[in-house]
Amino acid sequence: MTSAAIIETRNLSYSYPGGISALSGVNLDIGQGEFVAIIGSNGSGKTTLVKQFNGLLKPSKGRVTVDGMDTRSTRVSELSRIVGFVFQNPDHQIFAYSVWEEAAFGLKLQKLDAESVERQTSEALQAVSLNDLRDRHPRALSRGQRQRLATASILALRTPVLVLDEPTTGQDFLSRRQIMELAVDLHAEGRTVLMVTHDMALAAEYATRVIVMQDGAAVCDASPKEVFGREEILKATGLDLPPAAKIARGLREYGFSDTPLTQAELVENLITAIRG
Amino acid sequence: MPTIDIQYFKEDSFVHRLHPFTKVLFEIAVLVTAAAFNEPLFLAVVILAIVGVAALSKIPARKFRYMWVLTYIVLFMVITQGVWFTSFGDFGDIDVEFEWRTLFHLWPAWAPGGPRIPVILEGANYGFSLGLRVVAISLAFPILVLTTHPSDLTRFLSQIRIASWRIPYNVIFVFTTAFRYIPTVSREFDQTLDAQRSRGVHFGGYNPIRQIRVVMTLFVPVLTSSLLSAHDLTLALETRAFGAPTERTFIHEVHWRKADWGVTALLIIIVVACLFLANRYGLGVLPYTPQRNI
Repeated sequence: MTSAAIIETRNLSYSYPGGISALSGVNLDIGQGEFVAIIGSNGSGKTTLVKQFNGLLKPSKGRVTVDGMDTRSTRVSELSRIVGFVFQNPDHQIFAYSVWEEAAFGLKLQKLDAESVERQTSEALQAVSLNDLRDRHPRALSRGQRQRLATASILALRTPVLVLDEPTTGQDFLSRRQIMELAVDLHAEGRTVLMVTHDMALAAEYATRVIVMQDGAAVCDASPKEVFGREEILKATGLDLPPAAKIARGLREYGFSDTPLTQAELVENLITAIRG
Repeated sequence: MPTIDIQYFKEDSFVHRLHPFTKVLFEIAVLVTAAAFNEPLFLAVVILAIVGVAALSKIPARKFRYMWVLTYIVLFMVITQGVWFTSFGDFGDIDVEFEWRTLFHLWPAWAPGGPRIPVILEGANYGFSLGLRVVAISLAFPILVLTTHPSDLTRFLSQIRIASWRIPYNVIFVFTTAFRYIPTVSREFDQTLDAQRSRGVHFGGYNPIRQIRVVMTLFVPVLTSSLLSAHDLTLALETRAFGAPTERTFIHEVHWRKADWGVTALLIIIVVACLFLANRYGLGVLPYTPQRNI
């Protein structure tokens, strides 16, 4: 499924004005169709890294190319056609008078014809189950609904890459699952999904690749199985294991050596071990 | 780092150690001297002095970087005054032989028809001086905020008493909260800017109607979240018994020191001298200043 890299970073370093170094020497190739989880403790550079991917931040050293375009010489408004970016706080973007208006705004900026705007907006609203509320004022929505509206306004743009910055923080179990199902669907459609998260269970269950950030460097970049199998790295970065892996870890002294990522996998492996 | 970064900047400098009142006097002195003169050269000296104070307070230059927007204000003043200066106002006892000099015409000679719209040199110069006043005041204001800890400002305001009257603490609180919220709102502004740029909003460009629409996408979220956080603040205040009738005390006291007497005396001398030179001898005042008593 993975093909040519859509995002490439080469020796990427970034310092905030005032000299605080936030990224140093990051080399990554994000392939088309990957589902990447970016994990790391607070202040490890996760958000700074993903902000490089749509040009909100420009590299201080090295370079970032998105679909062949150097981010330093490309406008954010152009890169936004490739990389859709959903922020953690929806209230930073909602300004329109109706749900539909808000979701359609980005498309109108792209000067699409009315029919395509209508179709793409409705589809995006349906995907987050807000289509019934399309004429509501966004302020009349709940926090979870507003988060989904912000997601819809980016979905409508149909960008090949989607960046979700801590999409599940502050969401209840149901909305959390809804957001993840959406991400999985988008990934199944062939889109590249990048997710910044603190939720190890989500990273373990859904991602095809996990990047661990620590002090501005990508210290580990591998499949979830491999990353969560290397406990020493997670310990050094102050991260916890996903629940299923944690239980398996507790069973290690009883001869259980596997690193299951999901509940189903854990159960299956346990049963095989007991029967075997 | 936020675009507009005016909040207390911790540093140990002569200006930081001054009493807040001395710094307020400095702001007043800037206002008065900037108003006294209107010859660009004299205003340039005032601005240089302010830059000197900023350097003395060890504030890094990047804190003033956003001031480039002032260039637009100066430019606006120069052009509008250049075009309309002679149309309005009473120039009082201006020399009869005085002649306005035309810099250039907005409507070029080779273009047919239309009024030629001359831009008058004296008007442009006067507009430039108005712009420089704005620059002087805008440069001076952040110095107070950047070098004074918000709680020192609160303490200073609560120390002011006229007979038995004091500024009510509620009023002081509103004042200092406004300062405290500058960085918060500025951060909200930056995050909104990022969110809107991410969905393809391009800030900049020349179409004014488009620009108004684009600016709306910034101001609505920033205003709403400011109002919401103000609401949260009131709740937080209530839970901490704001307004309970007690005498408020402070951990940190601010002291009036010898240096404050020195700076205050210096400021008074400078202000009086400037006013005297400008009003008595017309020094630093353009000969074609419009009279205020029309």
